[in-house]
Amino acid sequence: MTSVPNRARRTFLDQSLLYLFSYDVATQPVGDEIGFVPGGLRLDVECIPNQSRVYHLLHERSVAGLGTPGISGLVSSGGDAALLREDDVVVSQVQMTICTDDGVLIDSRYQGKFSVGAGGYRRAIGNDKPVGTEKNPLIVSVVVTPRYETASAKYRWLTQYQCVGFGMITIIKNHQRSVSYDIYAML
Amino acid sequence: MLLPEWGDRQTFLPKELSYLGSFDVQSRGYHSVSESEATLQKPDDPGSNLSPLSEAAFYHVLRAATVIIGGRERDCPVGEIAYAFERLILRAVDGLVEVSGQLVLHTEDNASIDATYSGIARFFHPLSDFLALQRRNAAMETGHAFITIGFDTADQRYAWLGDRQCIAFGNMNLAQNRGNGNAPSVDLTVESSYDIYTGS
Repeated sequence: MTSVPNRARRTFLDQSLLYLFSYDVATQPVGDEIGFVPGGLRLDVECIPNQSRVYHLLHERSVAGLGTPGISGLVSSGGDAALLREDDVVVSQVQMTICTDDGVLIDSRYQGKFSVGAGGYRRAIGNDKPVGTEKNPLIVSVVVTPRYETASAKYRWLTQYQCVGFGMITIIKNHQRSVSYDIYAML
Repeated sequence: MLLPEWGDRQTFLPKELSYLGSFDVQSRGYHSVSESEATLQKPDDPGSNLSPLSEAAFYHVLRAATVIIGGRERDCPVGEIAYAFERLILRAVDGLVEVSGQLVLHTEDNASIDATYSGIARFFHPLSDFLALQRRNAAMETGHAFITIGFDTADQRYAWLGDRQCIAFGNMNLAQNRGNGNAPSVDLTVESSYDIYTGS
């Protein structure tokens, strides 16, 4: 006997995504590694200064459909307190600050999850066969769900959207070395 | 595939979402008036006058038994929502509604799955007007909700749910219940319905 009420919906709700901006960031392991914590292995990374870019893929100056100013600039600071769980899943906890070309700071905090494949945790805690190598990096796709905060009236529109980012992460020797995302607003 | 040089990327990254399931929840609570924000949540007292959750369910809108996630066929989690909590905060500065919630799903095959979500809701009319005491007993207000949702379960059959970040698009109906005259609180019922998607 089903537990789903007869009146439950039989059609999908409307859903759409509006492209906002993209970013590419180079990252490096933080100097002081956290290591083993309850639930897994902390593999923290930070963004490398001057090796990031926030931009519109189509070089538009405004966001199509919204008419709001587009986002371009660089990532001025940020990092990921990534936890590699024993089930081979990495839980990303990202804090990131965008500095736009016109000097505005936009803060972002978000979570993401991705798998490093079966046996990834065991490989990471061993020294002989790390996850990803210089010659053969592990590249994984990931979905993140950022929200943004800023004091700027010009970019305040960005604070009013739940966003979703589709990205690719490059992992070398257990650590994220670069991330690329396309960010969309949920509409 | 290697990532391109910084800023030289010319193409969008893969953007694929797979439908995972849907859920409906109904909750009843109180809007409390304060200077900066309004909070709606279920009363803490379990014996208080909550709306029944018998209609709260997790299901596939096409009544399919499975979903395709990450190229693999998975059992769609279907069942009753045994516990649900939803909290709405009306942002005074711009009228946006911050949504957060938690639910526990008991599937028809006896798994317990916890879900926690947060996001925003946007109503068609300013919610502050709707909540104003002088408009008590006004008609239902409707809006759209956009949330991020994460799952957690000890059941191996549904462990895959905990491996991925999910998003959900929702509809939200907000109604003021009649017969509450105790200012400054307003008795409200919220009906939310979401479709959940995750990366492929």
